[in-house]
Amino acid sequence: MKFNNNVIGPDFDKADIVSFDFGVAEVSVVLPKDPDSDLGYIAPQDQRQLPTEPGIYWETHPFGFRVFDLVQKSWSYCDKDSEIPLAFENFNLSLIEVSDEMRAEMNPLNKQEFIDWVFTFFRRIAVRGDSSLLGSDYELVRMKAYQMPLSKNEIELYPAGRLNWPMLTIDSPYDDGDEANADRDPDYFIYIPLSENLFLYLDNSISISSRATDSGTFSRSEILQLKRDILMEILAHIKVTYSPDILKLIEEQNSET
Amino acid sequence: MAIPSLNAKKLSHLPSPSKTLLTKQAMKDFVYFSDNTKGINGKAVKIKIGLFLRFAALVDPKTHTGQTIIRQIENLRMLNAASPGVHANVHSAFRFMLQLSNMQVFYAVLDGEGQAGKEIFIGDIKADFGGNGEKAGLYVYNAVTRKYDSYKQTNLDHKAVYLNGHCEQLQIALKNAKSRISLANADIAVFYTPGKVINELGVWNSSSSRKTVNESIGKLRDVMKFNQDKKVSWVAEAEGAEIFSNALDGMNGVLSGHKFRLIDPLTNTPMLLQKLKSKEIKPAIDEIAPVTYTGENRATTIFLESQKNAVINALKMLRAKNYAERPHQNMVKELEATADNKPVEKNKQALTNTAALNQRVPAKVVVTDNKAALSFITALKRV
Repeated sequence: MKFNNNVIGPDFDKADIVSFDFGVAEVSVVLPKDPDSDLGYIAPQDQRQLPTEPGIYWETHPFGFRVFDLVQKSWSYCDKDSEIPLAFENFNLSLIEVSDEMRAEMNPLNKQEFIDWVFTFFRRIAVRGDSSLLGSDYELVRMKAYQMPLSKNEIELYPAGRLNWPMLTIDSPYDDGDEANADRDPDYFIYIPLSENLFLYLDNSISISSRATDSGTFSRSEILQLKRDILMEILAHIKVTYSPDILKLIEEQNSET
Repeated sequence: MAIPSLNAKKLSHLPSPSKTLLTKQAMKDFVYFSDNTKGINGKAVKIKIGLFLRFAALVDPKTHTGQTIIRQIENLRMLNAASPGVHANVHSAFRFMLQLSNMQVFYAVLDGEGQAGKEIFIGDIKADFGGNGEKAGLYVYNAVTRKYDSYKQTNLDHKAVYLNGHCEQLQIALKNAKSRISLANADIAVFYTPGKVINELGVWNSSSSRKTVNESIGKLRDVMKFNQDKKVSWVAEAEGAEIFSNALDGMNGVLSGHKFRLIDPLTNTPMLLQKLKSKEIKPAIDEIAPVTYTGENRATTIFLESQKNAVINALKMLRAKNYAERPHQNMVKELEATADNKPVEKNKQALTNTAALNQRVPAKVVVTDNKAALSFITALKRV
């Protein structure tokens, strides 16, 4: 696809489609390939039985739920004429298994409960899980430092049919508060409900080559637009197909909305 | 034993800016860049033979990136000063620079031999790895965000720290780390060296500008000092081994609880092994050779050619308790089996012979596709 400023990216129509079967839902994503590298990871297609043996591609989050790696891939975007890479996409897709504790708080298929939960989750991230700091000034300072949305109203929703996907911004600050912090653009964490027990989260970061920023050919707003366009193209190529039972549950959970 | 110097004064063989002609003497150091740039279609493009080693290390003609670079240099025959990617030297007429993805190509447009008209003479190339502004330094996994946070100092006890070679961004270094070290995210840290720092490393540049690389090395040394009495495994790949080697220089005392593994080291490996021994850093104990040449890193393979015997001798001296002796011995045998295979040296000599032959035949004969006109890229494809 061609973007503004003569930037071109991989042809999604010719890229590989990778799908995952979770039983309750099937997810397909389009993954362009770096022509010279196979680096990264793609989990097996069959995800109906989640592993219980320890492994390097799943872990228990400090907040108690299990997270499974599905895809960790990168690809690049370059100048059409010089073919010099100008932007790098990092696509990290994971599966989260809803823990008993989470289940008591929300059902991912309920749009409002899901948004409430992800916002609280981000607040807890900001205070590193110390619940006594929730609601304090410190929490607000940390959320700003992490470039997180500061209220539920600031959470952007990607329209994906009956369920919207909450898109939350995040970026860990450098520890020394130097000038490098000022240039950071946050990454997106995008949450995709699959069932009452499972949801996906996409950690999507796009970094811009210093060749684009140093040359002065790209303004700040053009860079933000490029990052936005790249992200939107990627999200448009993620498809979720729910089983009839889950579709029924989605209707039940959101009947008043 | 040292890695061959890659330094070359830019266009040092070219005449002063006021002149537009190469001397016969200087001309013999140049060959046609490729079979497509012999002046039949557009201007002829020639390149200095002395650049063969560095060019071969930077460009793999079998990859998409390598083929793109070759095509872009071939296109110089059609370009002018206003073409995209071409930068004119404002202080010097006829001098230009072409910016490519991983290098800068310095060239002049001068009168060619006989009736050939203007020709392109590539007098220097310089490694120029890009990056995205991410800072050099230590990155440690944050289990809450599942991202890597930057640290000046932190306790690395029982962690493996990966030191990356050239890669375009931190995320690639992290993926490389994960592919090299079979541990959970929480047990892997990365000391990241971005492209702009690697540009300044002695492996790629022997100029005096070492500001960012020295800063980087200082950061790594601070991390090592902070963790001196801990148990840390260092896994250094490609240029990461050069950073590691430099950081060890300023360390007082020993790091006897530390272990190392080198993957495709792009440094003076015998010297690094000597330093590791004196600091009591021992080979990693898992079932992988402590020094591994995978053949995947083109620059390492190219530069290894001239130091292979010294590397083999140094590896034979490597002994430690409980280390992976069998994989290590197999690695040594593998290197010994190819010790006399020197394709870079052989093909560079073939180019020199070609240039000498070209001096003795008229220009119009040289432009035809004959044996005497072995081009730089044809030689490169044989490496």
